[in-house]
Amino acid sequence: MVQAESDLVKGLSLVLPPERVLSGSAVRRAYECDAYSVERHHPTAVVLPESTSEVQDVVKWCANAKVPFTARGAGTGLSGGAMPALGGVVVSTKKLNKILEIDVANRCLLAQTGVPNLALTRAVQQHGLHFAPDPSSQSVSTLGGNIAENSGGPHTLKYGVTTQHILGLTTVLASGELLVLGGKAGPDLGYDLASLVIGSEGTLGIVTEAWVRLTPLPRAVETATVCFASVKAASQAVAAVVRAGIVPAALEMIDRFVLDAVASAFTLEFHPDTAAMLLLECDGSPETAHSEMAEALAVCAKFNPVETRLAQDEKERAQLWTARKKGIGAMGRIAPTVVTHDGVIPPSRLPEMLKFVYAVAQRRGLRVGNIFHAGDGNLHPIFCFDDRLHGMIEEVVEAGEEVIRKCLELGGSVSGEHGIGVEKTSLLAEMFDSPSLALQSRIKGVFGAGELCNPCKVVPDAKGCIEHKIRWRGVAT
Amino acid sequence: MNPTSLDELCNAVRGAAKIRLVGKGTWAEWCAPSDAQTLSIKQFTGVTDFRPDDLTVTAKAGTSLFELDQVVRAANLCLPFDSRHGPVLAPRLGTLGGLVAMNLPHGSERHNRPVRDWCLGMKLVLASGEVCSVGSQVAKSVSGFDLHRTMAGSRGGLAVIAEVTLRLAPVSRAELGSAVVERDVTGPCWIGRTLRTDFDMVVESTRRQGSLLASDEGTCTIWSTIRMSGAAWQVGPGGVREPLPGAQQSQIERNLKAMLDPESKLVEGRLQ
Repeated sequence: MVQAESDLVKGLSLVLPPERVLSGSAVRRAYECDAYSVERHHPTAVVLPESTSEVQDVVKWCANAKVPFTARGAGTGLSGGAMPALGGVVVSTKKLNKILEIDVANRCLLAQTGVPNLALTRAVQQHGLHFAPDPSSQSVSTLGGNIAENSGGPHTLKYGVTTQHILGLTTVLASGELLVLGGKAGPDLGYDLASLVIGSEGTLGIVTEAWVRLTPLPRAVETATVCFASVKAASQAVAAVVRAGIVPAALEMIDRFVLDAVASAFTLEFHPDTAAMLLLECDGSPETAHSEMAEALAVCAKFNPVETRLAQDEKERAQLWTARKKGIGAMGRIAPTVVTHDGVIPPSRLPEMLKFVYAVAQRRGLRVGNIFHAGDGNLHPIFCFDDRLHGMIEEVVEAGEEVIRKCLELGGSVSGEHGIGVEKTSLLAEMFDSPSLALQSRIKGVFGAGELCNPCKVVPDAKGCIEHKIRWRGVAT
Repeated sequence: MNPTSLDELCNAVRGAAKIRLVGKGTWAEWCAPSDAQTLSIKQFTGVTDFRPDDLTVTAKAGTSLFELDQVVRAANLCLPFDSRHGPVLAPRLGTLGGLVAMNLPHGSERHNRPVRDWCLGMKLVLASGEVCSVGSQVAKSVSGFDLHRTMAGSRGGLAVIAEVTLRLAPVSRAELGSAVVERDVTGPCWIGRTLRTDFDMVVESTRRQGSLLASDEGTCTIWSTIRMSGAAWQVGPGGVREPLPGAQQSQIERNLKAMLDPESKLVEGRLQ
């Protein structure tokens, strides 16, 4: 294995122009973690390929030299998927930033995977189209990152997650070979391999190009906020909307703790008695949007809201969404460190689940806010704390694990959209029994992924992942 | 072999040399013929968990779609097939396992998505007889690889789909089929997908040949009595698939098969 920085840089510089091979202490620090900063490990070098064939060259070099490699987009991942767990090379997609073909008539486009999510929509919105997955990080997070994590977002309630919007993929496998799946007309009826690659967190290869489905923008959109005097009433209203069979484009919940943080940052007004606010959006034809909204508000009305407000114009609507999407960021104003957790429960269990989340926070002396995708039961408790205080990180990590275990107890999932990464490998083992987990771990072998391609993620297999786990946390505390 | 319990199903799979999985045989003519011993799942039936408040149901693979639909309709939910469509575009007569294992395009796909998207999780019986869970029981999950999605459409060639958790639709979504049926599709036919820009042309040429059965502009899907020209991909009677996959894709498909069924025990309703 090539370990020394100088050897690595020298070797990679034969494959790529030297100015696109980065190393040194500043680079090591910048790439040691993604947005999940609890666990860190630095790479030895970072490369910036510009094409699929350059990625192939880099991967072939790494395979030959037995150097681990980890793909990275914008680094907004929330479970450590882009952390180079065993060091080696970070393959940044920053320069894989071109949209290669736009086919408006066939409602699809081909892009390199370093293109930010929102840039895809910006490129086609004049044609009345958009790329539907809308993670809160969408202004920076990349198509490749969205594919790796199978990202969701508020509007996935109606439109589906990333996997429903990818028609074709070009993946550089761990051997450096290319795997091309699907295309403009979507995947054919063979074994659906694309579904394995999407959401694989970069452990099966590096996706360099993708055909994405473009969805017509809805002709009409109605957005409303409904405020309740208790979290229980708000969560009961969510469960009732779901049960009524209404599928709004989005159904989000924001509790008072987050509302207070958001209100001062984004001038969001709400009734003083509010304990939790629902953000509801219905879209489609003007008639559909209107009738669905009326139906949803009628269901909400049964739970005695203190205030119901329809956005009057596009400006007001945009303001509501800014508050929602930047909500977690606004939490940074109240505490030096915030950690967002991610778990899923059946929506009917929301009242019980939220009660549990507040109880955990209270027992552990932590502050917690909730701003999340209520319609599909996808919880995001945000713990606010001061990481300079001794033992706080452990407290928050344990609180998160308690919450996720409760999700499992209620029949849910350990992650709805943030992924397993390094954060949840042990929790994944609690979701599946050992034969099922063993089955998961054999999928990397199907793609010939071995131990070098984004090691220690999802289902850890590489030697050394366990001893390293101690070291990653060690850096943060 | 007609196992009625999970234990019997596992034992049947474990003990067999070569088996072909069947439900009610709805899709038999879309599959390549095989003289392997058949393992029927049609007596492995029953709803194991129905959560109307969460719009999900879990049922054993042999459960008939008709019965499953009846159970969930009592709670104003449904499997969103359009009742105006015949048994190929709205497959209500076969088993849940057959529906999922085939994952063929249906006539309500535009509004209600492909069958694969309805599947949230599964219980599988591997060729070794081992039972594994894949996916989850909730609408959204990114926990582990989406092997349950790959199982949808795998035609019984990778593992036995023993149990499926489906996301249900409100009953109002059942009548949203957007396919235009020219002639009732009852027997085996070609099912293909085109680019949007080719759709009208392929529909017209198929119609001129007198072979057009149905078409859905929403998903660019065409059902035809004969092989179409101009389709981006199509499947036909006997498990014929066009175009054939590239070398790398074929290799990984073989690796997947070898990982799940190393002795090549399960005879796929092959796409060839």
